[in-house]
Amino acid sequence: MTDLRSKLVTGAALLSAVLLIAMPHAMAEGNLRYIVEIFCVFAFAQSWNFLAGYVGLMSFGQQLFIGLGAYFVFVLSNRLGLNPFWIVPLAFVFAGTFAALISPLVFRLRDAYFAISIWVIAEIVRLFIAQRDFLGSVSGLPLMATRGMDRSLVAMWTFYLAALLAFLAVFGLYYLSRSRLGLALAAVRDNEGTAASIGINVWWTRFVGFVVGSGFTGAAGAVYYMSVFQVQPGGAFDPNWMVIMLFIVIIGGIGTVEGPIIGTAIYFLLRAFFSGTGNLYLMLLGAAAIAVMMVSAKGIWGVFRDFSGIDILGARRASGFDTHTKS
Amino acid sequence: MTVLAVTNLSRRFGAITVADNLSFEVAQGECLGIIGPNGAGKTSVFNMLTGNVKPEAGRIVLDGKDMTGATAHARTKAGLGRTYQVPQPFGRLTAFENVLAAAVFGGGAGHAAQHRARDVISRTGLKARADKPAESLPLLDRKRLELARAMALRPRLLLLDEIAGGLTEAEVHELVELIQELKPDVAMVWIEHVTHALSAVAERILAINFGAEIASGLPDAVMRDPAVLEIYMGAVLDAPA
Repeated sequence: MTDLRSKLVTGAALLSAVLLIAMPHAMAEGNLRYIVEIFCVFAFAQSWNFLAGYVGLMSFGQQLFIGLGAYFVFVLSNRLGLNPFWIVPLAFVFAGTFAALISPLVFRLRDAYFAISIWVIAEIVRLFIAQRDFLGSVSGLPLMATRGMDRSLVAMWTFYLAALLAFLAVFGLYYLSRSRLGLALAAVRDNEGTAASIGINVWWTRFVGFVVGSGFTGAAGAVYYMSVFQVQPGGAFDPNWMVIMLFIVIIGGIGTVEGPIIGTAIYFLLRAFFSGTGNLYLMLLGAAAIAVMMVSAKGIWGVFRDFSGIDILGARRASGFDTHTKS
Repeated sequence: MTVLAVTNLSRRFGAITVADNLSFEVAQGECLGIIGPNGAGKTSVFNMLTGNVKPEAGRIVLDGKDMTGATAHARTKAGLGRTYQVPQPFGRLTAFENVLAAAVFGGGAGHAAQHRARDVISRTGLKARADKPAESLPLLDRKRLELARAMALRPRLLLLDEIAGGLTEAEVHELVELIQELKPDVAMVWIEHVTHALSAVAERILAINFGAEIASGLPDAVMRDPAVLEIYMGAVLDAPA
């Protein structure tokens, strides 16, 4: 049963990879751009899901890393005339390093205080950038390097980067959660005292989780803003990003790989149908999240999984005992 | 062979003394019971052994290595396993995963850890509920899981914190049998209120009050010690004949 499942997941990963590689050759540029947006928003949500549901770190300021990743690529590419597509992996490193540097500070805070501390740092960074002319101040920066490039080539490479993010957000998270590190993260998330008592270094485990999760948000932020060719502090560090991530993860199911896939689909459907309604659309998002939470905090996928027993991309490690017969 | 050697352990919280110059040793295959009324300092002594509370004076030596200032996870690496008075499982992980985590991070990896986790689950009678989330288990199973998780570490020293508390007579009996089975491989320190369970396992008992030793020795002798009787009965009774 476990062998079959791991083969199914490997098969699904290969199939997804092939489909994603083929996609830009079979699709109109406009549709491609829409999918890039969906993939990036999904990657944002999944990185928050990773932190909150797998590492046990509830941050309300992940827009910090979206903005950092975006500005890193824009500034480096514009200043040095570099191809921005090659800098995206460095955006992961940059955002991850930033997370590493603030860890000693923010890890001293717990729960709500931790959550808000990251938000405060996001606001500080936003204000810092908005007051620096060389960073474009409030009106932001355009992306220069892509202007001279072939349009369809830019669209294709942007798509591939977004597709890689979405792929990692599903299969990378699946394999990570089933790894030794994933087990340590789950233990620390559930009970840090007990985790220490079985020999896990709690601080370092959490640190690695925070750096990886935030670095991933940074890379996704870079790709998102590259796809729209300009970045502004008000948009990149907008707390609304956080609202969207929360909505997607809560509605889909926190701590599951599948949940945010469902949540992202619902988010974009609601947006497509109600985007003309202005503020009403945001209220509808809120109402939908509340409705799901009233039924169950496990979200749509969490409820479905418990009800049906179907768990495709979960991290649960089976004992291998036949538990249907009483021992 | 001595596994744990504690010398002159002392600690105060403000005006309250929780450990007053305590010394004791435990060898492999041996169980030392610690008793005392509420607030006597049992849990604080326990927390100093696990590394959650720092002693002000004294030394804790585990297998010849000084662990007095070591962190909790460093002590685990050095061979310490513990259970919690109120079970503290990894709630969302299954019973099996709880034990597996201990087997993996207690030094084994891959198939060896998998094998050990399955073995410990079988021995502690958790087989039927192995794939259930730990938070859904009833109390006896959560107590068993505490023991299973500690065992999966293959500890040299096993610290039990009131593991019999809150269980029925029959359940206590089951647990005592399990603990007897584990005993030859480890040195054990067991803090307990359920004294008849303790007497069945421990070779020696240390009675403390206000952090200081008031009696120690064979279980029967300690239980009949006038100083111990005075604390538990509230007054000096005529010594039984």
